[in-house]
Amino acid sequence: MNLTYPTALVLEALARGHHHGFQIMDVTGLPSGTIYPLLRRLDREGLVSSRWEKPAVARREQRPSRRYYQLTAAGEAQHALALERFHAIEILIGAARKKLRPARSEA
Amino acid sequence: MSLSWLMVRIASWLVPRRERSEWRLEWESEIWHYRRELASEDRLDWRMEMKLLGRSLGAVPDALDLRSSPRLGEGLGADLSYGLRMLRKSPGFTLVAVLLLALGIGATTAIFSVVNGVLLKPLPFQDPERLVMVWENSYKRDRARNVVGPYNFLRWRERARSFASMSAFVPWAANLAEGEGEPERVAIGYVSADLFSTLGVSAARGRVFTPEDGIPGNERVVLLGDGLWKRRFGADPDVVGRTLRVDGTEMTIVGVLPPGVELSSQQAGGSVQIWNPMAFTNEHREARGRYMLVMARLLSGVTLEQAQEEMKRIAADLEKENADFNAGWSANVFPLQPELVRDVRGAILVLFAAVGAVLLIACANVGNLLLTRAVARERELSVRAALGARRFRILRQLLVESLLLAGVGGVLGLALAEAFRRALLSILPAELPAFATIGLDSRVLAFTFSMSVATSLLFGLLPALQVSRLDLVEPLKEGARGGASAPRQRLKNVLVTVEIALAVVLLVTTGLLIRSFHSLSRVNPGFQPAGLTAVQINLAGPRYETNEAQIAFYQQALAKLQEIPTLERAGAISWLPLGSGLGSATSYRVTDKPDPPPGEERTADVRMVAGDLFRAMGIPLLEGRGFEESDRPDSRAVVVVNQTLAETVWPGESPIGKIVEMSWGEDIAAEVVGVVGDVRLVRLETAPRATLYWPQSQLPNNFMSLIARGKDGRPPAAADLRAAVATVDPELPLTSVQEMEDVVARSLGRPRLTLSLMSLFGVVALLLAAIGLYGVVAFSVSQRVREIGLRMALGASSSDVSRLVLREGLKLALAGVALGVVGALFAARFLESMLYEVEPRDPMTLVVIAALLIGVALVASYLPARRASRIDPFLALRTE
Repeated sequence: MNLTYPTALVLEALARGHHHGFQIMDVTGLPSGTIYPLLRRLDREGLVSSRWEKPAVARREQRPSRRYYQLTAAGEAQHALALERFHAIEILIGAARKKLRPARSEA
Repeated sequence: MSLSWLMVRIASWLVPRRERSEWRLEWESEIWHYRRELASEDRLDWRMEMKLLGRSLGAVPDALDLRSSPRLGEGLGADLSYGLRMLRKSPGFTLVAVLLLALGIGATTAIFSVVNGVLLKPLPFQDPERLVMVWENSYKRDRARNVVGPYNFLRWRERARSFASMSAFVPWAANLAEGEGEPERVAIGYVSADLFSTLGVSAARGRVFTPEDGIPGNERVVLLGDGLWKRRFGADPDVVGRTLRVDGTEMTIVGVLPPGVELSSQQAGGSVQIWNPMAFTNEHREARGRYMLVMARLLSGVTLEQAQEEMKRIAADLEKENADFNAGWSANVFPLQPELVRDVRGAILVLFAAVGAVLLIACANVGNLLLTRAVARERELSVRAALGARRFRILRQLLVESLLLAGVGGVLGLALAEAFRRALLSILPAELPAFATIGLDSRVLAFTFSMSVATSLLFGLLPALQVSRLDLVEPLKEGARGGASAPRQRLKNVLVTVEIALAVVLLVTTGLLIRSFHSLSRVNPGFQPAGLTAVQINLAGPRYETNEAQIAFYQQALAKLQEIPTLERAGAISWLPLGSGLGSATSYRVTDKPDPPPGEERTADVRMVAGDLFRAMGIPLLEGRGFEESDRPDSRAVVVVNQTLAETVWPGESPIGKIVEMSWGEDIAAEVVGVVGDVRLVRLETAPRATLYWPQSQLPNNFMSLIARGKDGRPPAAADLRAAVATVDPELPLTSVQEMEDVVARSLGRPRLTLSLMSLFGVVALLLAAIGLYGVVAFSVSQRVREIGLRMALGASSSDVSRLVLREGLKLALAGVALGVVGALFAARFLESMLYEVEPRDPMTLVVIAALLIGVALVASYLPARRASRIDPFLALRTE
């Protein structure tokens, strides 16, 4: 696949434990119209896997269930490649992390 | 329910149904959680709401992305390269298909460049859509476009409020000389001084005319057209201010017009090259006679209809004010551009339609090729489908291949179009309005491009739809015959039927044009053109100001001609018959019959003749005598009439001795001394009109054509004629010396050109349709080898088999012919104006073309039929 800068940002965000679409937008600063198509592409290419949290859990907590994205093994490798190519992303996402609340996963 | 939620709802309609609920759930859930988090941190203010809304706007591109990919775009590159590979793998098919398309697209583009240049491109004037032509409308004689008299023009100009300006233009020819340069005859436009400001044209050098140039006494100035400036003055930048002798009068060049500003005129014999202002005097205000073209610019906000209404009103007033001159006359206003191209519009559109039909036929052939090839690829496609390719993917693959074919065909077609265009231009320059620049501009390129895409869809879509409706199992079976399914054969049959129908329409059209041309070329012009040579002469300048000088010149010139040993007889006539499409005419009276009511006056063509014209041209003398030496300026005034006039005015009586009166500058009356046979003076296709011939010695005219008949039917040599005239006046330009047979042939030029192009298209269409039919029948035979083998094994003779195949081809041909005849009957009404003495629904043409097509169809089916009859049943059945 071609490793673009936005792709690298998303990979880094996922690696750092941001698992939901809106969270990834927050930490990467990329618009929503970019993030979702990108996630879908990564999904198709096997770099990211997604699943829905169990409806039972959500129902118990009286909220809609969320979709949860994470890196696959291939995605991890790609992420390493991305770090090599774009040194800045680590710093960028790191900075974003400090500013925002810690990522919470509800899987 | 927030705005962002609504946004997502709306965007979700863009998402393909299958993925919609999941997609919506994810977005809604994310928004919900985001809100809750913000609320828990007490940050949920309007600013955050806005941010959320902004984020939900992203749902639209997201939904669009889901919609397009991976369905449309993904793998397109792979499709392309695969398609290229497939086309390379079958070079024969590719070559034929590409060539067919290139020819079709190329020819269509070339003709379109003419359509574009002549009919579509705006005129090279400012706001050309507001320019109009104003004509006099002789409603009693049903002539909606009559040239305008200065009497009415000057009054229109004063009274009409619909126009910003109104200008007159009189095309003519003039002798040009300057310094020691060779004298020549060029087309000149006498114009009202404001013509160029009406058109919105400014000079490339110097200036255009100003109102002062139109004041009597100031009119000795000229503007040069770009062509003349380049040709005669070598594009000299200092030409402004120099003088030039126009018809013997010194004139000052005040400016040069930019290229492209050209008005052409048959009167002037081509595109006007030099312009001279008219000074309107009281004489013009009261003049009778009509000879001007009038162009005007509508005021902004005034519609054509309003202008027409106003002009009608004004003309009605003028009709009352001067019934003598204007009874039966009104006025018409038409947009300028269509007026300028009116003559050629019909022919161009017919050719365009014809070439379009050829392209359609080519498309149908390529479509059939694709269908045939699809059979060979059935297994490949089935494998793809079996491996999970969706129908859409297969369809796209096939369409990409058609697009590739059409793309390559389009590029090649463009190159061909350029070649065709050049060929076309070399044969039709004189036929087109001078302003038309026929080139391959962006509009033509856009046309070619859309043409290529459209054709690829046309020939690609139906077969692709058909093929992609795959049966997964059947073709994969071992030993499956891979035969065309019934619907596929049906589609091929439909395509070939349409092809034949189109060919029939085209050929019927061509046939009608051939018949029309034939009857036109067999028209008896009323004189014998073979053996005649004509010289056009225009006496101008101070030397020939008097009538005596003009009379003397022609007498001397004719006498000199007689001294040429190879010359049998010579005469002279004003307006070379069939030479320019024009002539002079006027109304006349006869003293022994009551005048018809106003507006229905008798009118006749008027010609001045000198020498032994009637005998020289071979115009038969029916009664009385022709002109003689004794008809001198001071002798009794005489006139000769033609048969039509004699029979209309004096049916059953002899016209000899009757008195004819007409106004020609002054009122003249003359006694009829002879009747001659009818001559088609203006156009071959126009029936002879009443004609009055006047002796040039009594009604002098400065421009005449000398016409000489050689001995033994051989036209006298141009050089001899020139030499003879030069002994009388060595300074006269004799640019136009031509044999009468050429003049007659040239008057058939346009029909001949249209005809030859149509014949070309017709023959191509016939060939393509025949090839198409052959292809379909041959293919069907190849698919039915086993069936035929079985029939033969069961006792069918080989003639039974070939009859079977022939019948199949014939069935298609008959269907196509039937469809085509209906189409031809429908198309006929567009042809009406182009036909001469042939009914647009001429049954003879229909029958001949139908028979021709059926014959060709039989030949095309015969080859496969023969092959079928030679099938060896043993071999055919054993291949299993």
